[in-house]
Amino acid sequence: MSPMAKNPYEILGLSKTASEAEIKAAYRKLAKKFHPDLNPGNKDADSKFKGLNAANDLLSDAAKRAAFDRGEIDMAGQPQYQQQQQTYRDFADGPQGNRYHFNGGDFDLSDFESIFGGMGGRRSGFEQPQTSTDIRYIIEVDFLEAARGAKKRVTMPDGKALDISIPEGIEEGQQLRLKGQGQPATAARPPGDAYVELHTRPHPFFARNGKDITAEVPITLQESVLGEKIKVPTIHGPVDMAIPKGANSGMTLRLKGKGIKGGDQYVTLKLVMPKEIDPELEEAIRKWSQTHDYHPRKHMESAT
Amino acid sequence: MKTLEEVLEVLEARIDRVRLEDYIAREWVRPQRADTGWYFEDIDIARLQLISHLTQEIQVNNEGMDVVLSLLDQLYGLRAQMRHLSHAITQQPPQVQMEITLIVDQLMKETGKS
Repeated sequence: MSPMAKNPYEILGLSKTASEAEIKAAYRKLAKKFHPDLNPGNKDADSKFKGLNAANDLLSDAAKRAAFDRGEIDMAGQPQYQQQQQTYRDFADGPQGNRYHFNGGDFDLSDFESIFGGMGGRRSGFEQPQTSTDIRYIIEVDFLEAARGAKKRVTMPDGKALDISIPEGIEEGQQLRLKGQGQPATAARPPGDAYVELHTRPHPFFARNGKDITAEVPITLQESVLGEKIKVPTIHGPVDMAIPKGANSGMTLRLKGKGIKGGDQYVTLKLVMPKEIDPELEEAIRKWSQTHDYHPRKHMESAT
Repeated sequence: MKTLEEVLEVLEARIDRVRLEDYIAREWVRPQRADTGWYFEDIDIARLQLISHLTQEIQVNNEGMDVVLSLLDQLYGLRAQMRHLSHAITQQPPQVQMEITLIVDQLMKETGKS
């Protein structure tokens, strides 16, 4: 049986004749005391709080309360709070927690000691805690901006304009720290910093592999057969590239130094046939095939 | 991560847009700002649920919430530090662990007397 299979009056410490106001007051008083997020170290608080909620849900609903008093229902029924899978505590104690912790982040033993040092009497009154004055932003940048570096001005939804200088070759998800661009300074504290997390939008044909750029480049039949020079786009602008005679689909060529910060660009060729095979081409190939033995699937035939 | 609209949906009627924007302005909840709007992580949503409970059911007022959240953030910050410190201690040789335990024990007895 669940912990709430008890009497709701008992749980709230009330008599059966308690008024609505008394129920409310009793619940509030106990909920404050046993809220699990306010009592993270107290395992009892959790179940007590659930019981309190169940009791309050039942007694604060006149119809349910009457039904209970008549003995028609017991204390079953899911209070809203229980439906939550995870409470704030689960997150605050988890890795995301330092988003909100004071003194979250870096651990420094002397810092830690100074927190508790106050107990020796050095600190007496309530001290203004160091609120987090840093602001986190997420910004999407173009593939080329991330690859080549760029200067950018972005206006965020809170109205803040940020001048961001994106370093060349920044990685997906990398954070930039903009000193003093967080919460403005007040008399009591220096300005915070802004942390900008950069996300890269994909490019229609470039992709990245560390410092190297990869791209698939379509070539024509004649470029492959005759081995021609073609223009290939790179992140630094188009460059000439020689297609070796007889180049195949899937063949990868390297353009040295055309990647990011000394990286290379790898070009994977893709042979594209003309949209329509005209009689002239058909005739030429027919003629050619009569005198040429050409078996790219030979190894498959022998294997099956 | 969820957008402001998705968060309002998750919270159903418990927090409306005006309230949510007020909570952001008060920095009770600090979602991330993207150039396309606000982004909420799971912890932000759990925090909103806690705020909703404290303000609406327990009727903590705005000034009270400032104090509650500030104390809560200190508490969880300290819990995290304690956890890390405890972990670091368990990584020490048994003799060091014992000495630390003895010192802490001694200190606690001393403060208990005063």
